[in-house]
Amino acid sequence: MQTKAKRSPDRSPPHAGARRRPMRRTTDDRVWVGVAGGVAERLSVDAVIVRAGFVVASAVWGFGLALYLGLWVLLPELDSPTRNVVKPGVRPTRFRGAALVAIVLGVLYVLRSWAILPPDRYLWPWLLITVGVVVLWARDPLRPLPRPALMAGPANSLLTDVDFAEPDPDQHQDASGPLDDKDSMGSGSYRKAASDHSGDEDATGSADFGEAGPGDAHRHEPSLDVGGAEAASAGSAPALVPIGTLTIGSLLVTCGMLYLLDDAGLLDVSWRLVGGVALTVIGVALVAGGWWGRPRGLIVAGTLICVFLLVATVLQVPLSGGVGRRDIRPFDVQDVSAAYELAVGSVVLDLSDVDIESRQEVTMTVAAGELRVIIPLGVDVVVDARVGFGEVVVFDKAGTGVGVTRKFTSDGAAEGVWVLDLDVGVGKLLVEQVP
Amino acid sequence: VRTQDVDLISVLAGVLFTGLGLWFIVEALGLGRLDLGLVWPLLLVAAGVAVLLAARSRFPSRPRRQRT
Repeated sequence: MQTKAKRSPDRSPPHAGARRRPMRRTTDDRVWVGVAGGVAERLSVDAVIVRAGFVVASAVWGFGLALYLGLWVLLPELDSPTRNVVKPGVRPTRFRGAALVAIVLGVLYVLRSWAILPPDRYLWPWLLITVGVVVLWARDPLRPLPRPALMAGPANSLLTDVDFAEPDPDQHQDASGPLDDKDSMGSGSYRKAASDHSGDEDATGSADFGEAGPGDAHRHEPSLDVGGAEAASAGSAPALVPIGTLTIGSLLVTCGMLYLLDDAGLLDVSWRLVGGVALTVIGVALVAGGWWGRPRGLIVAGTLICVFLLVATVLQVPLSGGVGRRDIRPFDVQDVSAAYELAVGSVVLDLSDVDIESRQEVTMTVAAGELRVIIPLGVDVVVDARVGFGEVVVFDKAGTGVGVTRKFTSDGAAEGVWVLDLDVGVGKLLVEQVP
Repeated sequence: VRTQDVDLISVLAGVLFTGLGLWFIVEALGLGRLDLGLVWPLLLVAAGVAVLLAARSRFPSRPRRQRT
Protein backbone atom coordinates (compact mmCIF):
# COMPACT_ATOMS: atom_id res chain seq x y z
CA MET A 1 0.00 0.00 0.00
CA GLN A 2 2.84 2.28 0.71
CA THR A 3 4.27 4.10 -2.20
CA LYS A 4 7.61 2.51 -2.78
CA ALA A 5 9.07 5.00 -5.15
CA LYS A 6 10.71 7.60 -3.04
CA ARG A 7 11.28 10.86 -4.72
CA SER A 8 14.62 12.40 -4.81
CA PRO A 9 15.45 14.93 -2.18
CA ASP A 10 13.32 18.01 -2.47
CA ARG A 11 14.48 20.22 -5.27
CA SER A 12 12.19 23.10 -4.62
CA PRO A 13 13.87 26.45 -4.48
CA PRO A 14 15.49 27.09 -1.15
CA HIS A 15 13.55 30.29 -0.71
CA ALA A 16 10.24 28.45 -0.79
CA GLY A 17 9.01 28.58 2.79
CA ALA A 18 7.54 25.57 4.49
CA ARG A 19 4.14 27.20 4.48
CA ARG A 20 4.01 27.27 0.70
CA ARG A 21 5.35 23.81 0.03
CA PRO A 22 3.07 21.00 -1.08
CA MET A 23 2.02 18.54 1.56
CA ARG A 24 4.14 15.42 1.82
CA ARG A 25 5.05 12.57 4.14
CA THR A 26 8.09 13.27 6.24
CA THR A 27 10.91 10.86 6.85
CA ASP A 28 12.49 12.29 9.98
CA ASP A 29 9.34 13.22 11.93
CA ARG A 30 7.33 10.04 11.83
CA VAL A 31 5.84 7.39 14.03
CA TRP A 32 4.46 5.20 11.28
CA VAL A 33 4.63 6.50 7.71
CA GLY A 34 5.06 10.22 8.22
CA VAL A 35 1.54 11.41 7.42
CA ALA A 36 1.06 13.34 10.65
CA GLY A 37 4.52 14.85 10.33
CA GLY A 38 3.69 16.07 6.84
CA VAL A 39 0.34 17.51 7.84
CA ALA A 40 1.95 19.19 10.84
CA GLU A 41 4.64 20.66 8.65
CA ARG A 42 2.03 22.07 6.30
CA LEU A 43 -0.04 23.55 9.14
CA SER A 44 3.00 24.68 11.14
CA VAL A 45 1.81 22.91 14.26
CA ASP A 46 3.29 20.24 16.44
CA ALA A 47 2.99 16.76 14.92
CA VAL A 48 1.81 15.40 18.26
CA ILE A 49 -1.28 17.56 17.99
CA VAL A 50 -2.02 16.18 14.53
CA ARG A 51 -1.49 12.62 15.76
CA ALA A 52 -3.84 13.24 18.66
CA GLY A 53 -6.36 14.62 16.18
CA PHE A 54 -6.12 11.47 14.07
CA VAL A 55 -6.61 9.29 17.14
CA VAL A 56 -9.62 11.25 18.35
CA ALA A 57 -11.15 11.34 14.88
CA SER A 58 -10.64 7.59 14.57
CA ALA A 59 -13.06 7.16 17.45
CA VAL A 60 -15.75 8.65 15.23
CA TRP A 61 -16.65 5.82 12.91
CA GLY A 62 -12.99 5.35 12.01
CA PHE A 63 -12.89 8.67 10.20
CA GLY A 64 -9.40 9.50 11.38
CA LEU A 65 -7.99 6.14 10.35
CA ALA A 66 -9.63 6.38 6.92
CA LEU A 67 -8.25 9.87 6.48
CA TYR A 68 -4.80 8.71 7.56
CA LEU A 69 -4.81 5.81 5.11
CA GLY A 70 -6.06 8.06 2.33
CA LEU A 71 -3.30 10.57 2.96
CA TRP A 72 -0.78 7.72 3.08
CA VAL A 73 -1.78 6.78 -0.44
CA LEU A 74 -2.07 10.29 -1.81
CA LEU A 75 0.91 12.07 -0.29
CA PRO A 76 4.38 11.59 -1.69
CA GLU A 77 7.28 10.81 0.58
CA LEU A 78 10.09 13.31 0.25
CA ASP A 79 13.40 12.43 1.80
CA SER A 80 14.35 15.82 3.11
CA PRO A 81 14.45 17.17 6.66
CA THR A 82 11.21 18.47 8.01
CA ARG A 83 10.80 22.20 7.91
CA ASN A 84 8.22 22.28 10.60
CA VAL A 85 8.78 25.00 13.15
CA VAL A 86 8.39 22.43 15.92
CA LYS A 87 11.19 19.99 15.33
CA PRO A 88 11.04 16.50 16.74
CA GLY A 89 12.98 16.30 19.95
CA VAL A 90 12.52 19.91 21.01
CA ARG A 91 9.06 19.67 22.48
CA PRO A 92 9.56 19.42 26.23
CA THR A 93 9.07 23.12 26.87
CA ARG A 94 5.83 23.27 24.99
CA PHE A 95 4.48 20.19 26.68
CA ARG A 96 5.21 21.20 30.22
CA GLY A 97 1.81 22.83 30.36
CA ALA A 98 0.04 19.72 29.10
CA ALA A 99 1.97 17.54 31.54
CA LEU A 100 1.05 19.88 34.39
CA VAL A 101 -2.62 19.71 33.46
CA ALA A 102 -2.46 15.91 33.35
CA ILE A 103 -0.84 15.79 36.77
CA VAL A 104 -3.43 18.14 38.28
CA LEU A 105 -6.28 16.11 36.83
CA GLY A 106 -4.75 12.91 38.17
CA VAL A 107 -4.39 14.38 41.66
CA LEU A 108 -7.99 15.61 41.52
CA TYR A 109 -9.15 12.16 40.49
CA VAL A 110 -7.37 10.57 43.44
CA LEU A 111 -8.70 13.17 45.87
CA ARG A 112 -12.17 12.65 44.52
CA SER A 113 -11.93 8.91 45.00
CA TRP A 114 -11.08 9.64 48.63
CA ALA A 115 -14.17 11.88 48.85
CA ILE A 116 -12.24 14.84 50.18
CA LEU A 117 -13.17 17.20 47.38
CA PRO A 118 -16.15 19.54 47.23
CA PRO A 119 -19.06 18.51 44.99
CA ASP A 120 -18.64 18.77 41.25
CA ARG A 121 -20.96 21.75 41.05
CA TYR A 122 -18.46 23.79 43.05
CA LEU A 123 -15.25 22.19 41.91
CA TRP A 124 -15.31 22.16 38.12
CA PRO A 125 -16.55 25.65 37.22
CA TRP A 126 -14.09 27.35 39.52
CA LEU A 127 -11.32 25.02 38.42
CA LEU A 128 -11.97 25.91 34.78
CA ILE A 129 -12.10 29.61 35.53
CA THR A 130 -8.94 29.47 37.62
CA VAL A 131 -6.98 27.56 34.99
CA GLY A 132 -8.22 29.95 32.30
CA VAL A 133 -7.18 33.01 34.28
CA VAL A 134 -3.80 31.43 35.00
CA VAL A 135 -3.27 30.70 31.30
CA LEU A 136 -4.17 34.28 30.39
CA TRP A 137 -2.10 35.76 33.19
CA ALA A 138 0.95 33.61 32.50
CA ARG A 139 1.30 34.91 28.96
CA ASP A 140 0.29 38.51 29.64
CA PRO A 141 -1.19 38.60 26.13
CA LEU A 142 -1.20 42.33 25.61
CA ARG A 143 2.31 43.01 26.79
CA PRO A 144 4.08 45.27 24.30
CA LEU A 145 7.00 43.92 22.38
CA PRO A 146 10.29 44.32 24.13
CA ARG A 147 12.82 46.27 22.20
CA PRO A 148 15.76 43.99 21.42
CA ALA A 149 19.06 45.36 22.58
CA LEU A 150 20.52 45.31 19.10
CA MET A 151 17.76 47.57 17.86
CA ALA A 152 18.90 50.44 20.01
CA GLY A 153 21.92 52.50 19.40
CA PRO A 154 23.64 53.95 16.41
CA ALA A 155 23.97 50.57 14.74
CA ASN A 156 20.43 51.04 13.59
CA SER A 157 21.55 53.58 11.10
CA LEU A 158 23.32 50.83 9.23
CA LEU A 159 20.20 48.74 8.94
CA THR A 160 18.55 49.88 5.81
CA ASP A 161 17.68 47.21 3.30
CA VAL A 162 19.11 44.26 5.14
CA ASP A 163 16.84 42.08 7.23
CA PHE A 164 19.08 40.27 9.65
CA ALA A 165 16.14 38.52 11.21
CA GLU A 166 16.11 35.90 8.48
CA PRO A 167 19.13 33.69 8.96
CA ASP A 168 17.51 30.84 7.05
CA PRO A 169 15.40 31.84 4.10
CA ASP A 170 13.90 28.36 3.94
CA GLN A 171 12.38 28.82 7.33
CA HIS A 172 11.13 32.28 6.94
CA GLN A 173 9.98 33.56 3.61
CA ASP A 174 7.34 36.17 3.52
CA ALA A 175 4.74 35.45 0.88
CA SER A 176 5.30 38.85 -0.57
CA GLY A 177 9.02 38.56 -0.83
CA PRO A 178 11.52 40.87 0.74
CA LEU A 179 10.41 44.20 1.97
CA ASP A 180 11.75 46.90 -0.17
CA ASP A 181 9.50 49.71 0.87
CA LYS A 182 10.97 51.53 3.80
CA ASP A 183 8.18 53.99 4.19
CA SER A 184 6.24 52.02 6.68
CA MET A 185 6.42 48.98 8.82
CA GLY A 186 5.43 45.87 6.96
CA SER A 187 3.41 43.16 8.53
CA GLY A 188 6.21 40.78 7.77
CA SER A 189 8.52 42.69 10.05
CA TYR A 190 5.85 42.83 12.66
CA ARG A 191 5.41 39.09 12.56
CA LYS A 192 9.08 38.42 12.85
CA ALA A 193 9.41 40.53 15.92
CA ALA A 194 6.23 39.13 17.37
CA SER A 195 7.39 35.57 16.82
CA ASP A 196 10.64 36.29 18.52
CA HIS A 197 8.77 37.58 21.49
CA SER A 198 6.50 34.56 21.45
CA GLY A 199 9.48 32.32 21.55
CA ASP A 200 10.84 34.07 24.57
CA GLU A 201 7.59 33.61 26.30
CA ASP A 202 7.59 29.93 25.54
CA ALA A 203 10.65 29.59 27.65
CA THR A 204 8.44 30.16 30.66
CA GLY A 205 6.83 26.84 30.03
CA SER A 206 3.30 27.95 29.31
CA ALA A 207 1.36 25.91 26.81
CA ASP A 208 1.13 27.46 23.38
CA PHE A 209 -1.44 25.98 21.05
CA GLY A 210 -1.71 27.14 17.53
CA GLU A 211 0.69 30.01 17.50
CA ALA A 212 3.42 28.27 15.69
CA GLY A 213 4.58 30.46 12.91
CA PRO A 214 7.53 30.57 10.63
CA GLY A 215 9.23 32.97 12.94
CA ASP A 216 9.28 30.52 15.78
CA ALA A 217 12.01 28.54 14.12
CA HIS A 218 14.55 31.18 15.03
CA ARG A 219 12.95 32.63 18.07
CA HIS A 220 16.21 33.44 19.78
CA GLU A 221 17.67 35.24 16.83
CA PRO A 222 18.08 38.96 17.28
CA SER A 223 15.51 40.94 15.38
CA LEU A 224 17.09 43.72 13.42
CA ASP A 225 14.47 44.33 10.79
CA VAL A 226 13.91 47.82 9.59
CA GLY A 227 10.22 48.05 10.41
CA GLY A 228 10.70 46.92 13.95
CA ALA A 229 13.53 49.35 14.40
CA GLU A 230 11.41 52.19 13.13
CA ALA A 231 8.59 51.25 15.41
CA ALA A 232 10.88 50.96 18.34
CA SER A 233 12.62 54.18 17.61
CA ALA A 234 9.28 55.89 17.30
CA GLY A 235 8.37 54.61 20.75
CA SER A 236 5.31 52.80 19.44
CA ALA A 237 6.24 49.17 19.65
CA PRO A 238 3.25 47.10 18.55
CA ALA A 239 1.57 44.91 21.13
CA LEU A 240 1.82 41.16 20.80
CA VAL A 241 -1.39 39.18 20.77
CA PRO A 242 -0.73 35.46 21.27
CA ILE A 243 -3.95 34.29 19.71
CA GLY A 244 -3.73 30.62 20.68
CA THR A 245 -3.14 31.20 24.37
CA LEU A 246 -5.72 33.94 24.51
CA THR A 247 -8.25 31.60 22.92
CA ILE A 248 -7.58 28.70 25.27
CA GLY A 249 -7.77 30.91 28.35
CA SER A 250 -10.97 32.55 27.14
CA LEU A 251 -12.53 29.17 26.39
CA LEU A 252 -11.75 27.85 29.86
CA VAL A 253 -13.16 30.92 31.57
CA THR A 254 -16.25 30.86 29.34
CA CYS A 255 -16.93 27.18 30.01
CA GLY A 256 -16.64 27.79 33.74
CA MET A 257 -19.06 30.69 33.54
CA LEU A 258 -21.54 28.59 31.54
CA TYR A 259 -21.27 25.88 34.19
CA LEU A 260 -22.07 28.40 36.92
CA LEU A 261 -25.01 29.86 34.96
CA ASP A 262 -26.41 26.39 34.39
CA ASP A 263 -25.99 25.47 38.05
CA ALA A 264 -27.70 28.68 39.14
CA GLY A 265 -30.62 27.90 36.85
CA LEU A 266 -30.16 31.09 34.87
CA LEU A 267 -29.39 29.33 31.61
CA ASP A 268 -30.10 25.90 30.22
CA VAL A 269 -26.64 24.94 29.01
CA SER A 270 -26.53 22.09 26.56
CA TRP A 271 -23.61 20.46 24.80
CA ARG A 272 -24.71 22.26 21.65
CA LEU A 273 -24.47 25.65 23.35
CA VAL A 274 -21.02 24.89 24.77
CA GLY A 275 -19.81 23.66 21.40
CA GLY A 276 -21.28 26.66 19.64
CA VAL A 277 -19.60 29.08 22.03
CA ALA A 278 -16.28 27.28 21.69
CA LEU A 279 -16.56 27.27 17.91
CA THR A 280 -17.42 30.95 17.83
CA VAL A 281 -14.49 31.90 20.06
CA ILE A 282 -12.12 29.86 17.91
CA GLY A 283 -13.56 31.37 14.74
CA VAL A 284 -13.13 34.93 15.95
CA ALA A 285 -9.60 34.09 17.07
CA LEU A 286 -8.79 32.68 13.64
CA VAL A 287 -10.12 35.74 11.84
CA ALA A 288 -8.09 37.99 14.12
CA GLY A 289 -5.12 35.69 13.75
CA GLY A 290 -5.23 36.11 10.01
CA TRP A 291 -3.82 39.57 10.58
CA TRP A 292 -2.09 39.41 13.96
CA GLY A 293 -0.82 35.88 14.24
CA ARG A 294 -0.77 32.52 12.59
CA PRO A 295 -2.91 30.29 14.79
CA ARG A 296 -3.46 27.46 12.36
CA GLY A 297 -3.51 24.93 15.15
CA LEU A 298 -6.89 26.37 16.02
CA ILE A 299 -8.18 25.12 12.68
CA VAL A 300 -7.60 21.57 13.88
CA ALA A 301 -9.39 22.31 17.15
CA GLY A 302 -12.30 23.97 15.35
CA THR A 303 -12.62 21.09 12.92
CA LEU A 304 -12.72 18.58 15.76
CA ILE A 305 -15.44 20.58 17.50
CA CYS A 306 -17.43 20.74 14.24
CA VAL A 307 -17.17 16.98 13.82
CA PHE A 308 -18.20 16.46 17.44
CA LEU A 309 -21.23 18.74 17.13
CA LEU A 310 -22.44 17.21 13.90
CA VAL A 311 -21.86 13.62 15.01
CA ALA A 312 -23.45 14.24 18.40
CA THR A 313 -26.44 15.69 16.59
CA VAL A 314 -26.71 12.67 14.35
CA LEU A 315 -26.11 10.08 17.04
CA GLN A 316 -29.35 10.95 18.76
CA VAL A 317 -30.85 8.41 16.36
CA PRO A 318 -29.99 4.75 17.06
CA LEU A 319 -27.83 3.12 14.42
CA SER A 320 -29.85 -0.07 14.18
CA GLY A 321 -32.44 -1.77 12.01
CA GLY A 322 -30.34 -2.87 9.06
CA VAL A 323 -29.51 -1.40 5.68
CA GLY A 324 -31.53 -1.10 2.49
CA ARG A 325 -34.93 -0.05 1.22
CA ARG A 326 -38.15 -0.92 3.02
CA ASP A 327 -41.62 -0.47 1.62
CA ILE A 328 -44.17 -1.08 4.35
CA ARG A 329 -47.82 -1.05 3.35
CA PRO A 330 -50.06 -2.63 5.98
CA PHE A 331 -53.75 -3.28 5.21
CA ASP A 332 -54.93 -3.69 8.77
CA VAL A 333 -54.13 -1.94 11.99
CA GLN A 334 -52.95 -5.26 13.41
CA ASP A 335 -50.16 -5.25 10.84
CA VAL A 336 -48.79 -1.94 12.02
CA SER A 337 -45.86 -2.21 14.40
CA ALA A 338 -45.33 0.22 17.20
CA ALA A 339 -41.74 0.90 16.12
CA TYR A 340 -39.69 0.72 12.96
CA GLU A 341 -35.92 1.16 12.76
CA LEU A 342 -33.50 1.45 9.86
CA ALA A 343 -29.79 2.22 10.07
CA VAL A 344 -29.03 3.28 6.50
CA GLY A 345 -31.37 3.43 3.52
CA SER A 346 -34.92 4.47 2.82
CA VAL A 347 -38.20 3.40 4.28
CA VAL A 348 -41.74 4.17 3.16
CA LEU A 349 -44.65 3.57 5.54
CA ASP A 350 -47.90 3.76 3.59
CA LEU A 351 -50.87 3.88 5.95
CA SER A 352 -53.39 4.84 3.27
CA ASP A 353 -55.11 1.42 3.39
CA VAL A 354 -55.42 1.24 7.17
CA ASP A 355 -58.65 2.29 8.81
CA ILE A 356 -58.41 3.19 12.46
CA GLU A 357 -60.97 4.19 15.01
CA SER A 358 -58.70 4.89 17.93
CA ARG A 359 -55.32 6.35 18.81
CA GLN A 360 -52.41 4.51 17.19
CA GLU A 361 -48.79 5.36 18.05
CA VAL A 362 -45.91 4.62 15.70
CA THR A 363 -42.23 5.38 16.26
CA MET A 364 -39.80 5.33 13.34
CA THR A 365 -36.04 6.02 13.20
CA VAL A 366 -33.62 6.17 10.28
CA ALA A 367 -29.99 6.94 11.13
CA ALA A 368 -29.04 7.94 7.60
CA GLY A 369 -31.34 8.03 4.61
CA GLU A 370 -34.93 8.87 3.81
CA LEU A 371 -38.09 8.33 5.81
CA ARG A 372 -41.48 8.79 4.18
CA VAL A 373 -44.87 8.34 5.81
CA ILE A 374 -48.13 8.45 3.87
CA ILE A 375 -51.33 9.22 5.78
CA PRO A 376 -54.84 8.93 4.32
CA LEU A 377 -57.09 11.93 4.23
CA GLY A 378 -59.84 12.11 6.81
CA VAL A 379 -57.68 10.80 9.62
CA ASP A 380 -56.31 12.96 12.38
CA VAL A 381 -52.59 12.93 12.91
CA VAL A 382 -50.10 14.16 15.48
CA VAL A 383 -46.57 14.35 14.11
CA ASP A 384 -43.32 15.01 15.96
CA ALA A 385 -40.60 14.92 13.29
CA ARG A 386 -36.88 15.57 13.86
CA VAL A 387 -33.87 15.51 11.56
CA GLY A 388 -30.31 15.80 12.84
CA PHE A 389 -28.94 17.11 9.57
CA GLY A 390 -31.07 17.39 6.47
CA GLU A 391 -34.60 18.24 5.40
CA VAL A 392 -38.01 17.86 6.98
CA VAL A 393 -41.32 18.19 5.13
CA VAL A 394 -44.47 17.67 7.19
CA PHE A 395 -47.39 18.48 4.91
CA ASP A 396 -46.83 22.16 4.19
CA LYS A 397 -44.17 22.70 6.85
CA ALA A 398 -40.65 22.33 5.52
CA GLY A 399 -37.22 23.00 6.90
CA THR A 400 -33.57 22.18 6.38
CA GLY A 401 -30.56 22.38 8.60
CA VAL A 402 -29.11 20.91 11.76
CA GLY A 403 -31.46 19.69 14.44
CA VAL A 404 -34.61 20.58 12.52
CA THR A 405 -37.90 19.81 14.24
CA ARG A 406 -41.41 20.04 12.84
CA LYS A 407 -44.60 19.33 14.77
CA PHE A 408 -48.11 19.06 13.47
CA THR A 409 -51.44 18.39 15.16
CA SER A 410 -54.69 18.18 13.22
CA ASP A 411 -57.99 19.55 14.44
CA GLY A 412 -59.20 16.31 16.02
CA ALA A 413 -62.52 15.90 14.23
CA ALA A 414 -61.96 12.28 13.26
CA GLU A 415 -62.19 9.26 15.55
CA GLY A 416 -58.89 7.72 14.64
CA VAL A 417 -55.59 9.44 15.37
CA TRP A 418 -52.14 8.51 14.12
CA VAL A 419 -49.45 9.62 16.56
CA LEU A 420 -46.15 9.57 14.72
CA ASP A 421 -42.79 10.02 16.43
CA LEU A 422 -40.27 10.24 13.61
CA ASP A 423 -36.48 10.63 13.74
CA VAL A 424 -33.88 10.84 10.99
CA GLY A 425 -30.19 11.33 11.76
CA VAL A 426 -28.95 12.49 8.39
CA GLY A 427 -31.24 12.71 5.39
CA LYS A 428 -34.81 13.52 4.52
CA LEU A 429 -38.09 13.08 6.34
CA LEU A 430 -41.43 13.37 4.53
CA VAL A 431 -44.96 13.15 5.88
CA GLU A 432 -47.74 13.55 3.34
CA GLN A 433 -51.44 12.91 2.99
CA VAL A 434 -53.05 11.24 0.00
CA PRO A 435 -56.74 10.82 -0.83
CA VAL B 1 5.93 46.85 -3.82
CA ARG B 2 5.02 45.88 -0.31
CA THR B 3 2.20 43.53 0.58
CA GLN B 4 0.89 42.47 3.93
CA ASP B 5 0.98 38.83 4.78
CA VAL B 6 -2.61 38.02 5.65
CA ASP B 7 -3.21 34.36 6.36
CA LEU B 8 -6.17 33.70 4.11
CA ILE B 9 -6.72 30.13 5.30
CA SER B 10 -7.04 31.25 8.91
CA VAL B 11 -9.47 33.99 7.94
CA LEU B 12 -11.68 31.69 5.89
CA ALA B 13 -11.68 28.98 8.53
CA GLY B 14 -12.48 31.60 11.14
CA VAL B 15 -15.46 32.89 9.20
CA LEU B 16 -16.76 29.36 8.73
CA PHE B 17 -16.34 28.43 12.39
CA THR B 18 -17.85 31.69 13.60
CA GLY B 19 -20.92 31.21 11.41
CA LEU B 20 -21.43 27.62 12.47
CA GLY B 21 -20.81 28.47 16.12
CA LEU B 22 -23.37 31.28 16.11
CA TRP B 23 -25.77 28.95 14.37
CA PHE B 24 -25.45 26.36 17.14
CA ILE B 25 -25.78 29.05 19.82
CA VAL B 26 -28.95 30.49 18.32
CA GLU B 27 -30.52 27.06 18.04
CA ALA B 28 -29.40 25.96 21.50
CA LEU B 29 -30.88 29.05 23.12
CA GLY B 30 -34.10 28.63 21.19
CA LEU B 31 -33.80 32.10 19.73
CA GLY B 32 -34.69 30.90 16.29
CA ARG B 33 -34.58 28.09 13.84
CA LEU B 34 -32.04 28.70 11.14
CA ASP B 35 -32.23 26.74 7.94
CA LEU B 36 -29.35 25.65 5.80
CA GLY B 37 -30.86 27.58 2.93
CA LEU B 38 -30.33 30.77 4.90
CA VAL B 39 -27.09 29.95 6.68
CA TRP B 40 -24.97 28.81 3.78
CA PRO B 41 -25.53 31.90 1.62
CA LEU B 42 -24.69 34.06 4.63
CA LEU B 43 -21.52 32.06 5.21
CA LEU B 44 -20.59 32.40 1.56
CA VAL B 45 -21.15 36.15 1.65
CA ALA B 46 -19.09 36.43 4.84
CA ALA B 47 -16.33 34.32 3.31
CA GLY B 48 -16.37 36.49 0.21
CA VAL B 49 -16.07 39.65 2.26
CA ALA B 50 -13.21 38.11 4.21
CA VAL B 51 -11.43 37.16 1.01
CA LEU B 52 -11.86 40.67 -0.35
CA LEU B 53 -10.53 42.19 2.85
CA ALA B 54 -7.58 39.85 2.84
CA ALA B 55 -6.95 40.27 -0.86
CA ARG B 56 -7.09 44.04 -0.65
CA SER B 57 -3.91 44.03 1.32
CA ARG B 58 -2.29 41.78 -1.23
CA PHE B 59 -2.88 44.13 -4.12
CA PRO B 60 0.14 46.16 -5.08
CA SER B 61 -0.03 49.54 -3.52
CA ARG B 62 0.05 52.58 -5.70
CA PRO B 63 3.64 53.71 -6.13
CA ARG B 64 4.31 56.87 -4.25
CA ARG B 65 5.71 59.83 -6.00
CA GLN B 66 8.87 61.01 -4.47
CA ARG B 67 9.24 64.71 -4.18
CA THR B 68 12.29 66.05 -5.82
